[in-house]
Amino acid sequence: MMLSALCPSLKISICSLIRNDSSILSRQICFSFIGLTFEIDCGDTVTESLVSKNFDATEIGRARNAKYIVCKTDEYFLVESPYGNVQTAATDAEFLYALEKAITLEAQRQRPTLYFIHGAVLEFEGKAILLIGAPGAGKSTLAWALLHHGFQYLSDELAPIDLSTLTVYPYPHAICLKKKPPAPYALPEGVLYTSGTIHIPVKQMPSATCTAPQPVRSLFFVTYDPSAMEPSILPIGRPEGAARLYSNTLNALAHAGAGLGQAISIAKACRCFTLRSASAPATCLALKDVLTRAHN
Amino acid sequence: MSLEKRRDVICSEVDGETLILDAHGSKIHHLNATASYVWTECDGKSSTEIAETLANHFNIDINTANNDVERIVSQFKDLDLFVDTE
Repeated sequence: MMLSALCPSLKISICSLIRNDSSILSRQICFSFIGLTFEIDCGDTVTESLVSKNFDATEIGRARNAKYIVCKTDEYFLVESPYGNVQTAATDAEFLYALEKAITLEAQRQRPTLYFIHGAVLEFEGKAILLIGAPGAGKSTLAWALLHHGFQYLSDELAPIDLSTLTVYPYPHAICLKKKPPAPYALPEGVLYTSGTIHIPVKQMPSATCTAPQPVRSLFFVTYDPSAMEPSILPIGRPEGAARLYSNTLNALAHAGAGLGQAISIAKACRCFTLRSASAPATCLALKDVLTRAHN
Repeated sequence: MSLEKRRDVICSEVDGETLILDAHGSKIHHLNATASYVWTECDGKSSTEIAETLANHFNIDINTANNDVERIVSQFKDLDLFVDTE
């Protein structure tokens, strides 16, 4: 692969040009996440467009906790981390994946006491629900559909939980779909299409977006069965909920006892369910019914 | 043969069931109440001895207990949760 053979010094030189010469800089995009401020310096309009549609930029006056430099050359994309490491990517989709992964790792490094779970997060009647499952299980598609049923958006891929309060932080990041969602949940204007994914910017959500942490109350472990005629939502016990939750934790080993006790604490504070989704409208209504009965 | 559970796994009891984290194998196991009891008894006892205590604890006949223990111990072995005592 020719990218891997690219001279390291050349990659670093390109990024240092952007860092040291503000006239090259296309735009600085800043966003707040888990109490940290991330800055992404874009060296061109291509990366600026990709980054601005993926992260909900805000005006931030305080110092940056992490700064990334990104740019696109004729043949590839570059992502420089706060520590000077430079990654290359061949496509726009790979570029976004590399940037998001770098940010996720840095977030875990700077906030090691948070419990990071891979999953989507929505708010309903003042409480957060997590949609957790393997890649391709339909978490993002279901999250997008639920936003049309009175749910509010917190996150698509990442659920950082404060273990002292059992609240989950929002992540101002686009919803990333692998294919177009089913009817009637059409895509809005301003969607970003890459070589492999569809990104719905935060500002295009059909409902309000939560900007403050929300208490975690329900965990749904999602699978998708295309042959299923109707959705199935079944309660599971706390031991099973903790085991499933642990399997989807990103930084379990950063916590005492390998993070097992923490997963148990979260599961004990929540109602846990398996969710086999079928048609999106039916699944949304079934999930909403479960939550409505639980809150009453 | 004596059954000795590995001590390098992390165990936690939740609602009468057991979670076993095998960091070495990157796996987490969820044991129901019966399997949790058998796991607790795997401290050098033989399968026969464990079946006797299981039968007394759950008030079941010895044949059922023997079958349950044999099945559960076989699963524990497949999951590499025992110390090799041979």
